[in-house]
Amino acid sequence: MISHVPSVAVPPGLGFKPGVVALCIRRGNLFVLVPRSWVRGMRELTPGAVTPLPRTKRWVLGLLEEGARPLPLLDPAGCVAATAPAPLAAVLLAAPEREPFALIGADGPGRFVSIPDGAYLEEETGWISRVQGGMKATWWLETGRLASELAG
Amino acid sequence: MIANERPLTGWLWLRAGGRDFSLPLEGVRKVALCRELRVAPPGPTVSSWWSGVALDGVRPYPLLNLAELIGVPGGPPLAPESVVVLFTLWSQPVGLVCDRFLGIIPQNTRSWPLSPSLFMAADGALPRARLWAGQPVPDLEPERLFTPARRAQFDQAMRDSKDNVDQLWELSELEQELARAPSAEGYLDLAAGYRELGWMEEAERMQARAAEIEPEAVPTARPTAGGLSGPCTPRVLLEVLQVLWLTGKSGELVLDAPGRIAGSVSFHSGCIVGARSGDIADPHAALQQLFSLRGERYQFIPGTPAAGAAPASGDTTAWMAEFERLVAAAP
Repeated sequence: MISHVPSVAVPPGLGFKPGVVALCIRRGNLFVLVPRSWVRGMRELTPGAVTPLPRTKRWVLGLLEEGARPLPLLDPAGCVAATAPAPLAAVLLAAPEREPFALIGADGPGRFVSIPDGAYLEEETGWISRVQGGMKATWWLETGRLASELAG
Repeated sequence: MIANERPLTGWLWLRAGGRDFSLPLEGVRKVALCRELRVAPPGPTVSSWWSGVALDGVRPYPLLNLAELIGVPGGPPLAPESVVVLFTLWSQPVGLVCDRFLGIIPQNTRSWPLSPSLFMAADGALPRARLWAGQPVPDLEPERLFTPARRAQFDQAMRDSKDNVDQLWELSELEQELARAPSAEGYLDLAAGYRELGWMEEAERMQARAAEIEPEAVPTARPTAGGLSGPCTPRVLLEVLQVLWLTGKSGELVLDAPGRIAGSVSFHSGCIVGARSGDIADPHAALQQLFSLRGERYQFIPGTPAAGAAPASGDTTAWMAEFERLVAAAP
Protein backbone atom coordinates (compact mmCIF):
# COMPACT_ATOMS: atom_id res chain seq x y z
CA MET A 1 0.00 0.00 0.00
CA ILE A 2 2.90 2.37 0.50
CA SER A 3 3.68 2.29 -3.21
CA HIS A 4 0.54 4.26 -3.93
CA VAL A 5 1.12 7.22 -1.67
CA PRO A 6 2.92 10.37 -2.80
CA SER A 7 6.66 10.11 -2.45
CA VAL A 8 7.06 13.82 -1.69
CA ALA A 9 5.66 15.20 1.56
CA VAL A 10 2.89 17.73 1.12
CA PRO A 11 3.17 20.85 3.32
CA PRO A 12 0.65 21.09 6.20
CA GLY A 13 -2.60 22.84 5.54
CA LEU A 14 -2.51 22.13 1.83
CA GLY A 15 -5.97 22.56 0.33
CA PHE A 16 -7.32 24.32 3.40
CA LYS A 17 -8.93 27.68 2.80
CA PRO A 18 -12.30 29.29 3.49
CA GLY A 19 -14.95 28.36 0.95
CA VAL A 20 -13.38 25.02 0.07
CA VAL A 21 -15.70 22.00 0.32
CA ALA A 22 -14.65 19.10 2.56
CA LEU A 23 -16.28 15.95 3.91
CA CYS A 24 -17.11 16.43 7.59
CA ILE A 25 -17.15 13.18 9.59
CA ARG A 26 -17.82 12.69 13.26
CA ARG A 27 -15.52 10.69 15.52
CA GLY A 28 -16.64 10.71 19.17
CA ASN A 29 -16.55 14.35 20.25
CA LEU A 30 -14.49 15.43 17.24
CA PHE A 31 -15.41 16.56 13.77
CA VAL A 32 -12.84 15.90 11.06
CA LEU A 33 -12.72 17.63 7.67
CA VAL A 34 -11.38 15.49 4.83
CA PRO A 35 -10.37 17.36 1.62
CA ARG A 36 -12.94 16.50 -1.03
CA SER A 37 -10.36 15.63 -3.69
CA TRP A 38 -8.95 12.86 -1.45
CA VAL A 39 -12.32 11.21 -0.71
CA ARG A 40 -12.87 8.10 -2.86
CA GLY A 41 -16.01 6.89 -1.08
CA MET A 42 -17.58 5.77 2.17
CA ARG A 43 -18.30 2.28 3.43
CA GLU A 44 -19.99 0.73 6.40
CA LEU A 45 -17.95 -1.26 8.89
CA THR A 46 -19.45 -4.51 10.08
CA PRO A 47 -18.31 -6.18 13.31
CA GLY A 48 -15.33 -8.41 12.64
CA ALA A 49 -14.43 -6.69 9.37
CA VAL A 50 -11.29 -5.17 10.86
CA THR A 51 -8.29 -7.40 11.48
CA PRO A 52 -6.44 -5.97 14.47
CA LEU A 53 -2.67 -6.14 14.38
CA PRO A 54 -0.23 -6.12 17.27
CA ARG A 55 1.87 -3.23 18.55
CA THR A 56 0.17 -0.67 16.38
CA LYS A 57 0.16 3.04 17.04
CA ARG A 58 -2.79 4.29 19.01
CA TRP A 59 -4.42 5.64 15.84
CA VAL A 60 -4.12 2.43 13.80
CA LEU A 61 -7.15 0.21 14.26
CA GLY A 62 -6.03 -2.63 12.00
CA LEU A 63 -6.30 -3.90 8.45
CA LEU A 64 -9.41 -4.08 6.31
CA GLU A 65 -10.16 -5.67 2.95
CA GLU A 66 -11.18 -2.96 0.49
CA GLY A 67 -11.26 -3.46 -3.25
CA ALA A 68 -9.49 -6.84 -3.04
CA ARG A 69 -6.54 -5.45 -1.13
CA PRO A 70 -5.71 -4.86 2.54
CA LEU A 71 -5.76 -1.23 3.69
CA PRO A 72 -5.02 0.22 7.13
CA LEU A 73 -7.97 1.64 9.07
CA LEU A 74 -6.94 4.79 10.94
CA ASP A 75 -8.62 6.63 13.78
CA PRO A 76 -8.34 10.43 13.95
CA ALA A 77 -9.57 10.31 17.56
CA GLY A 78 -6.54 8.21 18.48
CA CYS A 79 -4.32 10.80 16.83
CA VAL A 80 -5.28 13.41 19.43
CA ALA A 81 -5.57 10.89 22.31
CA ALA A 82 -9.38 11.20 22.39
CA THR A 83 -11.61 8.21 23.05
CA ALA A 84 -14.35 7.13 20.68
CA PRO A 85 -16.43 3.97 20.24
CA ALA A 86 -15.60 1.53 17.44
CA PRO A 87 -16.19 3.26 14.09
CA LEU A 88 -19.29 2.28 12.13
CA ALA A 89 -18.18 3.72 8.80
CA ALA A 90 -14.97 4.59 7.00
CA VAL A 91 -13.82 7.10 4.39
CA LEU A 92 -11.75 5.66 1.58
CA LEU A 93 -8.76 7.93 1.10
CA ALA A 94 -6.64 8.41 -2.03
CA ALA A 95 -4.41 11.09 -3.46
CA PRO A 96 -5.90 12.63 -6.63
CA GLU A 97 -5.61 10.11 -9.50
CA ARG A 98 -3.95 7.53 -7.25
CA GLU A 99 -5.04 4.22 -5.73
CA PRO A 100 -6.69 4.34 -2.26
CA PHE A 101 -4.11 3.89 0.50
CA ALA A 102 -6.04 4.11 3.78
CA LEU A 103 -9.45 4.21 5.43
CA ILE A 104 -10.41 6.77 8.04
CA GLY A 105 -12.82 5.57 10.73
CA ALA A 106 -16.04 7.55 11.30
CA ASP A 107 -19.17 7.30 13.42
CA GLY A 108 -21.43 7.68 10.38
CA PRO A 109 -21.47 8.63 6.71
CA GLY A 110 -20.68 12.35 7.14
CA ARG A 111 -21.68 15.29 4.97
CA PHE A 112 -19.98 17.82 2.72
CA VAL A 113 -19.53 21.31 4.19
CA SER A 114 -17.86 24.58 3.17
CA ILE A 115 -15.06 25.91 5.32
CA PRO A 116 -16.40 29.20 6.77
CA ASP A 117 -14.74 32.56 6.37
CA GLY A 118 -12.28 33.33 9.13
CA ALA A 119 -11.34 29.67 9.73
CA TYR A 120 -7.64 28.96 10.10
CA LEU A 121 -5.40 26.09 11.17
CA GLU A 122 -3.43 25.77 14.38
CA GLU A 123 0.13 24.52 14.01
CA GLU A 124 0.16 20.77 14.76
CA THR A 125 2.69 18.01 14.32
CA GLY A 126 0.38 15.04 13.71
CA TRP A 127 -1.72 14.22 10.69
CA ILE A 128 -4.70 16.28 11.85
CA SER A 129 -4.60 20.00 12.63
CA ARG A 130 -7.08 21.90 14.76
CA VAL A 131 -9.39 24.32 12.93
CA GLN A 132 -9.90 27.64 14.70
CA GLY A 133 -12.19 30.52 13.95
CA GLY A 134 -15.82 29.49 13.73
CA MET A 135 -15.72 25.65 13.79
CA LYS A 136 -15.98 24.03 17.22
CA ALA A 137 -14.02 20.82 17.98
CA THR A 138 -13.13 20.50 14.32
CA TRP A 139 -9.89 19.16 12.84
CA TRP A 140 -8.43 19.18 9.34
CA LEU A 141 -7.05 15.96 7.92
CA GLU A 142 -3.48 16.64 6.76
CA THR A 143 -3.53 14.22 3.87
CA GLY A 144 0.05 14.92 2.82
CA ARG A 145 1.44 14.33 6.29
CA LEU A 146 -0.61 11.16 6.62
CA ALA A 147 0.63 9.86 3.28
CA SER A 148 4.22 10.52 4.33
CA GLU A 149 3.63 8.82 7.67
CA LEU A 150 2.26 5.68 5.98
CA ALA A 151 5.14 5.63 3.55
CA GLY A 152 7.43 5.23 6.58
CA MET B 1 11.71 -40.28 -2.45
CA ILE B 2 11.61 -39.54 -6.14
CA ALA B 3 14.28 -37.49 -7.87
CA ASN B 4 12.15 -34.58 -9.10
CA GLU B 5 10.38 -34.05 -5.81
CA ARG B 6 10.14 -30.42 -4.69
CA PRO B 7 9.22 -29.04 -1.29
CA LEU B 8 5.80 -27.44 -0.90
CA THR B 9 6.00 -23.71 -1.53
CA GLY B 10 3.91 -20.96 -0.03
CA TRP B 11 3.05 -19.97 3.52
CA LEU B 12 1.91 -21.79 6.59
CA TRP B 13 -1.28 -20.15 7.82
CA LEU B 14 -1.57 -20.18 11.61
CA ARG B 15 -3.25 -18.43 14.51
CA ALA B 16 -1.39 -17.06 17.53
CA GLY B 17 -3.00 -15.02 20.28
CA GLY B 18 -6.29 -15.23 18.37
CA ARG B 19 -4.80 -13.50 15.29
CA ASP B 20 -3.81 -14.97 11.95
CA PHE B 21 -0.30 -14.90 10.54
CA SER B 22 1.62 -16.68 7.82
CA LEU B 23 5.11 -18.15 7.94
CA PRO B 24 7.24 -18.94 4.87
CA LEU B 25 7.15 -22.69 4.26
CA GLU B 26 10.84 -22.75 3.35
CA GLY B 27 11.69 -22.40 7.04
CA VAL B 28 9.10 -24.92 8.26
CA ARG B 29 10.46 -28.37 9.04
CA LYS B 30 7.43 -29.97 10.66
CA VAL B 31 4.09 -29.23 12.33
CA ALA B 32 3.15 -31.13 15.48
CA LEU B 33 0.57 -31.05 18.22
CA CYS B 34 1.95 -30.14 21.62
CA ARG B 35 0.60 -33.31 23.22
CA GLU B 36 2.81 -35.38 20.92
CA LEU B 37 6.01 -33.78 22.23
CA ARG B 38 8.11 -34.52 25.26
CA VAL B 39 8.78 -31.17 26.82
CA ALA B 40 11.02 -30.16 29.69
CA PRO B 41 9.14 -27.17 31.14
CA PRO B 42 10.89 -23.83 31.61
CA GLY B 43 12.39 -22.66 34.88
CA PRO B 44 10.91 -19.77 36.83
CA THR B 45 13.41 -17.13 35.71
CA VAL B 46 13.13 -17.34 31.93
CA SER B 47 11.30 -14.88 29.64
CA SER B 48 7.55 -15.29 29.21
CA TRP B 49 8.02 -16.39 25.59
CA TRP B 50 10.35 -19.29 26.48
CA SER B 51 8.19 -22.42 26.87
CA GLY B 52 10.82 -25.09 27.54
CA VAL B 53 12.83 -27.57 25.54
CA ALA B 54 11.77 -30.58 23.47
CA LEU B 55 13.68 -33.24 21.57
CA ASP B 56 13.28 -33.77 17.85
CA GLY B 57 14.95 -37.08 17.11
CA VAL B 58 18.57 -36.20 17.68
CA ARG B 59 18.43 -32.46 18.36
CA PRO B 60 17.00 -30.52 21.25
CA TYR B 61 15.04 -27.41 20.35
CA PRO B 62 13.48 -24.60 22.36
CA LEU B 63 9.76 -23.97 22.34
CA LEU B 64 8.89 -20.30 21.87
CA ASN B 65 5.43 -18.89 22.52
CA LEU B 66 4.66 -16.98 19.34
CA ALA B 67 1.84 -14.85 20.83
CA GLU B 68 4.19 -13.68 23.60
CA LEU B 69 6.93 -12.93 21.08
CA ILE B 70 4.60 -10.88 18.91
CA GLY B 71 3.05 -9.16 21.91
CA VAL B 72 -0.56 -10.27 21.59
CA PRO B 73 -2.49 -11.92 24.44
CA GLY B 74 -1.96 -15.67 24.22
CA GLY B 75 -3.88 -18.66 25.55
CA PRO B 76 -2.56 -21.07 28.17
CA PRO B 77 1.06 -21.94 27.33
CA LEU B 78 1.61 -25.43 25.96
CA ALA B 79 -2.01 -26.59 26.01
CA PRO B 80 -2.22 -30.16 24.68
CA GLU B 81 -3.96 -28.94 21.51
CA SER B 82 -1.47 -26.14 20.87
CA VAL B 83 0.34 -26.46 17.59
CA VAL B 84 4.13 -26.43 17.44
CA VAL B 85 5.70 -25.36 14.16
CA LEU B 86 9.27 -26.61 13.96
CA PHE B 87 10.99 -23.70 12.25
CA THR B 88 14.59 -22.87 11.38
CA LEU B 89 15.73 -19.68 13.07
CA TRP B 90 19.39 -18.63 12.60
CA SER B 91 20.14 -22.22 11.46
CA GLN B 92 18.77 -23.43 14.80
CA PRO B 93 15.55 -25.47 14.96
CA VAL B 94 12.96 -23.85 17.23
CA GLY B 95 9.37 -24.82 17.98
CA LEU B 96 6.97 -21.91 17.55
CA VAL B 97 3.94 -22.55 19.76
CA CYS B 98 0.65 -21.33 18.21
CA ASP B 99 -3.08 -21.66 18.88
CA ARG B 100 -3.97 -23.40 15.64
CA PHE B 101 -2.74 -24.54 12.28
CA LEU B 102 -5.20 -23.27 9.66
CA GLY B 103 -3.74 -24.52 6.39
CA ILE B 104 -1.36 -23.61 3.63
CA ILE B 105 -1.52 -20.42 1.55
CA PRO B 106 -0.32 -20.98 -2.03
CA GLN B 107 2.87 -19.37 -3.27
CA ASN B 108 1.27 -17.16 -5.89
CA THR B 109 -1.09 -15.32 -3.52
CA ARG B 110 -0.68 -11.59 -4.04
CA SER B 111 0.66 -9.58 -1.12
CA TRP B 112 1.10 -5.92 -0.22
CA PRO B 113 3.79 -4.26 1.88
CA LEU B 114 2.83 -3.12 5.37
CA SER B 115 4.17 0.17 6.57
CA PRO B 116 6.72 -0.55 9.31
CA SER B 117 5.80 2.75 10.93
CA LEU B 118 2.26 1.47 11.53
CA PHE B 119 2.60 -2.16 12.48
CA MET B 120 4.91 -3.88 14.95
CA ALA B 121 6.72 -0.65 15.85
CA ALA B 122 9.83 -0.37 13.71
CA ASP B 123 11.15 -3.92 13.85
CA GLY B 124 9.53 -4.93 10.56
CA ALA B 125 8.45 -8.37 11.76
CA LEU B 126 5.23 -7.99 9.75
CA PRO B 127 6.61 -6.87 6.38
CA ARG B 128 3.64 -7.75 4.14
CA ALA B 129 -0.02 -8.80 4.24
CA ARG B 130 -2.03 -10.92 1.85
CA LEU B 131 -5.76 -11.50 1.52
CA TRP B 132 -6.73 -15.05 2.33
CA ALA B 133 -10.14 -16.49 3.20
CA GLY B 134 -11.58 -12.98 3.00
CA GLN B 135 -9.30 -11.32 5.51
CA PRO B 136 -5.84 -9.74 5.64
CA VAL B 137 -3.19 -12.18 6.88
CA PRO B 138 0.18 -10.59 7.70
CA ASP B 139 3.41 -12.42 6.90
CA LEU B 140 5.61 -12.98 9.89
CA GLU B 141 9.42 -12.85 9.88
CA PRO B 142 10.29 -14.50 13.21
CA GLU B 143 13.95 -13.36 13.13
CA ARG B 144 12.79 -9.77 13.32
CA LEU B 145 10.91 -10.46 16.55
CA PHE B 146 14.28 -10.61 18.28
CA THR B 147 15.85 -7.34 19.30
CA PRO B 148 19.52 -7.63 20.37
CA ALA B 149 18.39 -7.75 24.02
CA ARG B 150 15.87 -10.49 23.30
CA ARG B 151 18.42 -12.42 21.28
CA ALA B 152 20.76 -12.31 24.28
CA GLN B 153 17.94 -13.66 26.46
CA PHE B 154 17.41 -16.45 23.94
CA ASP B 155 21.09 -17.41 23.95
CA GLN B 156 21.19 -17.37 27.75
CA ALA B 157 18.05 -19.53 27.99
CA MET B 158 19.62 -22.00 25.55
CA ARG B 159 22.70 -22.27 27.77
CA ASP B 160 20.57 -22.57 30.91
CA SER B 161 18.46 -25.35 29.42
CA LYS B 162 21.42 -27.76 29.13
CA ASP B 163 20.30 -29.65 32.25
CA ASN B 164 16.81 -30.06 30.78
CA VAL B 165 18.27 -31.40 27.55
CA ASP B 166 20.43 -33.89 29.46
CA GLN B 167 17.34 -34.98 31.42
CA LEU B 168 15.39 -35.55 28.19
CA TRP B 169 18.27 -37.52 26.72
CA GLU B 170 18.56 -39.74 29.79
CA LEU B 171 14.84 -40.44 29.77
CA SER B 172 14.90 -41.15 26.05
CA GLU B 173 17.70 -43.67 26.52
CA LEU B 174 15.90 -45.28 29.48
CA GLU B 175 12.70 -45.58 27.43
CA GLN B 176 14.58 -47.30 24.62
CA GLU B 177 16.25 -49.65 27.08
CA LEU B 178 12.88 -50.51 28.64
CA ALA B 179 11.42 -51.17 25.20
CA ARG B 180 14.09 -53.84 24.71
CA ALA B 181 14.07 -55.22 28.26
CA PRO B 182 11.25 -54.08 30.54
CA SER B 183 12.03 -54.10 34.25
CA ALA B 184 10.17 -52.92 37.32
CA GLU B 185 13.23 -50.99 38.46
CA GLY B 186 13.56 -49.29 35.09
CA TYR B 187 9.92 -48.21 35.08
CA LEU B 188 10.28 -46.82 38.61
CA ASP B 189 13.33 -44.82 37.50
CA LEU B 190 11.38 -43.60 34.52
CA ALA B 191 8.44 -42.60 36.74
CA ALA B 192 10.83 -40.63 38.97
CA GLY B 193 12.29 -38.87 35.92
CA TYR B 194 8.84 -38.02 34.61
CA ARG B 195 7.87 -36.57 37.97
CA GLU B 196 10.92 -34.34 37.96
CA LEU B 197 9.74 -32.88 34.66
CA GLY B 198 6.18 -32.50 35.92
CA TRP B 199 4.71 -35.27 33.70
CA MET B 200 2.55 -36.62 36.52
CA GLU B 201 0.08 -38.67 34.49
CA GLU B 202 2.84 -40.46 32.63
CA ALA B 203 4.68 -41.02 35.92
CA GLU B 204 1.57 -42.71 37.34
CA ARG B 205 1.33 -44.95 34.29
CA MET B 206 4.97 -45.98 34.61
CA GLN B 207 4.46 -46.64 38.32
CA ALA B 208 1.50 -48.88 37.51
CA ARG B 209 3.46 -50.65 34.79
CA ALA B 210 6.30 -51.35 37.22
CA ALA B 211 3.82 -53.06 39.53
CA GLU B 212 2.59 -55.28 36.67
CA ILE B 213 6.05 -56.49 35.64
CA GLU B 214 6.79 -60.11 36.46
CA PRO B 215 10.46 -60.91 37.06
CA GLU B 216 10.55 -63.18 33.97
CA ALA B 217 8.40 -60.95 31.82
CA VAL B 218 8.84 -61.37 28.09
CA PRO B 219 9.94 -58.16 26.36
CA THR B 220 7.06 -56.60 24.47
CA ALA B 221 6.93 -53.89 21.90
CA ARG B 222 6.71 -50.41 23.37
CA PRO B 223 3.32 -48.87 22.76
CA THR B 224 3.43 -46.07 20.26
CA ALA B 225 2.37 -42.57 21.11
CA GLY B 226 -1.24 -41.60 20.32
CA GLY B 227 -2.24 -39.34 17.45
CA LEU B 228 -2.75 -39.79 13.73
CA SER B 229 0.80 -39.73 12.37
CA GLY B 230 3.41 -42.11 11.04
CA PRO B 231 5.55 -43.15 8.08
CA CYS B 232 3.82 -42.72 4.75
CA THR B 233 3.68 -45.07 1.76
CA PRO B 234 1.10 -44.91 -1.04
CA ARG B 235 -0.87 -47.70 0.68
CA VAL B 236 -0.79 -45.86 4.02
CA LEU B 237 -1.70 -42.58 2.35
CA LEU B 238 -4.70 -44.20 0.68
CA GLU B 239 -5.88 -45.73 3.93
CA VAL B 240 -5.46 -42.49 5.85
CA LEU B 241 -7.40 -40.60 3.16
CA GLN B 242 -10.14 -43.23 3.29
CA VAL B 243 -10.36 -43.05 7.09
CA LEU B 244 -10.60 -39.24 7.01
CA TRP B 245 -13.21 -39.45 4.26
CA LEU B 246 -15.37 -42.12 5.86
CA THR B 247 -15.26 -40.56 9.34
CA GLY B 248 -16.14 -37.09 8.01
CA LYS B 249 -13.04 -35.39 9.41
CA SER B 250 -12.06 -31.74 8.95
CA GLY B 251 -8.44 -30.63 9.04
CA GLU B 252 -5.15 -30.73 7.22
CA LEU B 253 -3.16 -33.85 6.36
CA VAL B 254 0.47 -32.77 6.14
CA LEU B 255 3.16 -34.90 4.49
CA ASP B 256 6.59 -34.01 5.72
CA ALA B 257 10.12 -35.22 5.32
CA PRO B 258 13.21 -34.15 7.27
CA GLY B 259 13.58 -30.42 6.96
CA ARG B 260 10.63 -29.64 4.71
CA ILE B 261 6.91 -30.09 4.05
CA ALA B 262 6.23 -32.05 0.86
CA GLY B 263 2.49 -31.56 0.51
CA SER B 264 -0.86 -31.25 2.19
CA VAL B 265 -4.48 -32.33 1.76
CA SER B 266 -7.32 -30.25 3.25
CA PHE B 267 -10.49 -31.99 4.46
CA HIS B 268 -13.87 -30.50 5.26
CA SER B 269 -16.44 -32.89 6.74
CA GLY B 270 -14.70 -35.81 5.05
CA CYS B 271 -14.46 -34.16 1.64
CA ILE B 272 -11.17 -33.17 0.06
CA VAL B 273 -11.36 -29.40 -0.47
CA GLY B 274 -7.76 -28.83 -1.49
CA ALA B 275 -4.42 -30.53 -2.03
CA ARG B 276 -0.98 -29.14 -2.75
CA SER B 277 2.36 -30.63 -3.66
CA GLY B 278 5.38 -28.54 -4.54
CA ASP B 279 3.92 -25.66 -6.50
CA ILE B 280 0.97 -27.73 -7.78
CA ALA B 281 -2.28 -26.38 -6.36
CA ASP B 282 -4.76 -28.31 -8.52
CA PRO B 283 -6.13 -30.89 -6.04
CA HIS B 284 -6.27 -33.82 -8.46
CA ALA B 285 -2.79 -33.24 -9.90
CA ALA B 286 -1.38 -32.63 -6.42
CA LEU B 287 -2.90 -35.89 -5.11
CA GLN B 288 -1.37 -37.79 -8.02
CA GLN B 289 1.99 -36.26 -7.15
CA LEU B 290 1.59 -37.09 -3.45
CA PHE B 291 0.93 -40.73 -4.31
CA SER B 292 4.29 -40.87 -6.08
CA LEU B 293 6.24 -39.69 -3.02
CA ARG B 294 8.32 -42.10 -0.96
CA GLY B 295 9.86 -41.89 2.47
CA GLU B 296 7.55 -39.20 3.86
CA ARG B 297 5.73 -39.03 7.16
CA TYR B 298 2.11 -38.03 7.45
CA GLN B 299 0.39 -36.09 10.18
CA PHE B 300 -3.24 -35.06 10.54
CA ILE B 301 -3.92 -31.69 12.19
CA PRO B 302 -7.63 -31.47 13.01
CA GLY B 303 -9.45 -28.18 12.50
CA THR B 304 -11.92 -26.45 10.25
CA PRO B 305 -10.50 -25.18 6.96
CA ALA B 306 -10.97 -21.67 5.69
CA ALA B 307 -14.47 -20.36 5.17
CA GLY B 308 -15.42 -20.72 1.56
CA ALA B 309 -13.73 -24.09 1.10
CA ALA B 310 -16.67 -25.90 -0.52
CA PRO B 311 -16.84 -29.65 0.07
CA ALA B 312 -17.16 -31.65 -3.13
CA SER B 313 -18.17 -35.17 -2.17
CA GLY B 314 -18.39 -36.30 -5.80
CA ASP B 315 -14.76 -35.40 -6.44
CA THR B 316 -13.60 -37.09 -3.26
CA THR B 317 -15.48 -40.30 -4.11
CA ALA B 318 -14.03 -40.37 -7.62
CA TRP B 319 -10.51 -39.67 -6.41
CA MET B 320 -10.71 -42.38 -3.76
CA ALA B 321 -11.76 -44.91 -6.38
CA GLU B 322 -8.97 -43.78 -8.72
CA PHE B 323 -6.24 -43.97 -6.10
CA GLU B 324 -7.54 -47.31 -4.79
CA ARG B 325 -7.07 -48.70 -8.32
CA LEU B 326 -3.67 -47.03 -8.56
CA VAL B 327 -2.42 -48.53 -5.28
CA ALA B 328 -3.91 -51.96 -6.11
CA ALA B 329 -2.10 -51.96 -9.45
CA ALA B 330 1.26 -50.99 -7.92
CA PRO B 331 3.83 -53.78 -7.67
